Amino acid sequence: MTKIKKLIHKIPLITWFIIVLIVVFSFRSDQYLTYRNLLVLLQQGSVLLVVASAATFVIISGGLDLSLGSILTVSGITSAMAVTAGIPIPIVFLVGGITGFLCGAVNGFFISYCGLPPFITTLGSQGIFYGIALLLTNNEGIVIYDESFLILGANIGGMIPMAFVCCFILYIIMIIVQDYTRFGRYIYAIGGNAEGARLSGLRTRFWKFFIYAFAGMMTGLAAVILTSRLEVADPLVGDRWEFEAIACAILGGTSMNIGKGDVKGTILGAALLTIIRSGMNVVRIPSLWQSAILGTVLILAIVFQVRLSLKEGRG
Amino acid sequence: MNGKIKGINSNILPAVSRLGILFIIIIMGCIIDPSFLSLRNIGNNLANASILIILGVGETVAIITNGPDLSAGSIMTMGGVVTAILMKNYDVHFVLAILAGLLVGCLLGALNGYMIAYVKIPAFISTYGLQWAVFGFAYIILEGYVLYSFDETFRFIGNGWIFKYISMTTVCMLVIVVAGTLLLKKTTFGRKCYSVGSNATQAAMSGIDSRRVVMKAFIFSGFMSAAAGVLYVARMNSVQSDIGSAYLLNVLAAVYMGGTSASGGEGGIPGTIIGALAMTMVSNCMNLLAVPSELRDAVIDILIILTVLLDTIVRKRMMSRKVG
Repeated sequence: MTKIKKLIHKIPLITWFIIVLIVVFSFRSDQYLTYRNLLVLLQQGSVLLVVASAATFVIISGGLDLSLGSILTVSGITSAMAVTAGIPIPIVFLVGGITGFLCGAVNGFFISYCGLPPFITTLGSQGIFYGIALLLTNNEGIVIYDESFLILGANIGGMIPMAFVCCFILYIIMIIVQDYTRFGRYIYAIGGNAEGARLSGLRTRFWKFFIYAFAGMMTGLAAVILTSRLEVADPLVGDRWEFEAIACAILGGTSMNIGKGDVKGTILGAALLTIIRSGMNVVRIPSLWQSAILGTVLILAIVFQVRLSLKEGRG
Repeated sequence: MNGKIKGINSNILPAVSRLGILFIIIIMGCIIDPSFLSLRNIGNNLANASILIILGVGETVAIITNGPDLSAGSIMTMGGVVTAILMKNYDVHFVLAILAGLLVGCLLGALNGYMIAYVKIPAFISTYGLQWAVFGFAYIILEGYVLYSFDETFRFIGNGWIFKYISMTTVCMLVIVVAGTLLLKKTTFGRKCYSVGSNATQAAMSGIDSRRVVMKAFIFSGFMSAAAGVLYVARMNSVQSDIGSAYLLNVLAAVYMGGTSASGGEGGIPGTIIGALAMTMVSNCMNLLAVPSELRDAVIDILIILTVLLDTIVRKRMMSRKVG
């Protein structure tokens, strides 16, 4: 009996929220618990999962990246331009990844080597990246006609969304990076005690820089998948993604203060957010209200989660 | 903080470098357009800067005490929207409507303060998140419409001119600036703000309840943002659900350019005024040069990063000199 109790205690609270929401929504609509809806949810949530995991890395290291949404936008646009130029898919991924890496490297350079506060740097670079995106596209979206590229947004045999498969691979890579590489351990070391890590011989400056560049690169790769799914690269597509990504990370149990967190938890945050978003249509909340309600729910959830983890820390 | 280096007050150097920036911007403006320094243009710039300065007063107090209030733009919108809708759709007297707008600002500021001081969510995350919700609700209240043409007496606060070159907005701004400066420099609350911002643990040990100070600072910031929103509505005679979104970057740039340290505990309102004037002139120059609107944010962002970078470098130099 006690074993089961312990096991139940180990399940994060957010899981119960997700279950309750699914039950509520499936009572409201008999379309909710169908395989087709699951496919839609997987497609919608998968890109968010990657961006949120990138945000998680940055937050664990004690930083913050408010420019992930704009990096998603810029990388989406460069990859769309590559597709329009007739470049094969693997190289398109390279283009998206490199764009993201460069954007992240700009952030990392200013934060790590110049010592600027992360939120100023990334809030500033957010506007700069959006400016670049608008310049590249002349303020209009790039529509993609290349059928072979759109495969990334389709379903394999009508069963499994390709976008989910790709994003899940990226997610697994990030879990491996976090748990089994030196880089992963350094992220925790820098987040827990940057000065101590430096004194014990870690090149904290370089690794801090690399965290932002890595987060940018992952976001850039996710952008390729997003572009394929939406069939258009819009210069404003990344609006609010950065906050949603941070919210997912926090809901997944990542703490902003002490280098604590886990990419594995972030998937729960991403799942919750995707379910809430889809559920708003199920319970017929008018689109006028959706932005305000999602914002309020996220803020409340963050407040709740942070209070909870503080209590756990004390107990 | 007031350590003397080779007989020079250490606060002078950054202040001089900032006045230098303002000076460069003015010269650039004069090169672009000879009438840049005409009384008319200066009066216009002052009036345009007023809303930014009022926002800046609140933002300065928030940054000195704890961290940035990234919801300033959204609270400004909400203050303006609430005031406007009460006057327009519910025929409330404009004084009451203004009070209601300011009250909403205080409440939202209190919400920020609660999240930051009591739940301990970092300011840049909680305020950044709150702004989406607030913008969303502003959109709901207006249902996506634009409200325009308000009561003449109400519009006078924003639109009236006295002595031909001084606008009423400037007068309101001056009153708020004087009040804000007195609050920061002459009251115990102001001193507590500096003390909590520079070292919260030390402040706690000397018996200051830093949570209450942070709470009050963000209520103050919310109030000022709402006041800026009300003035905006009176000045522009119209309101829509995104009026504040353009102001957030500008106000941050103004405050940082004004020498308020991003790490808290240092700075003041006089610097913010200089920063806001500089930012207004930058917008003026961008208008004259016809910079495409999609690039304006990027230009301001580059300015923010450059000013904070300059600030960091100057500080580092001074620290190393002090040690040496």
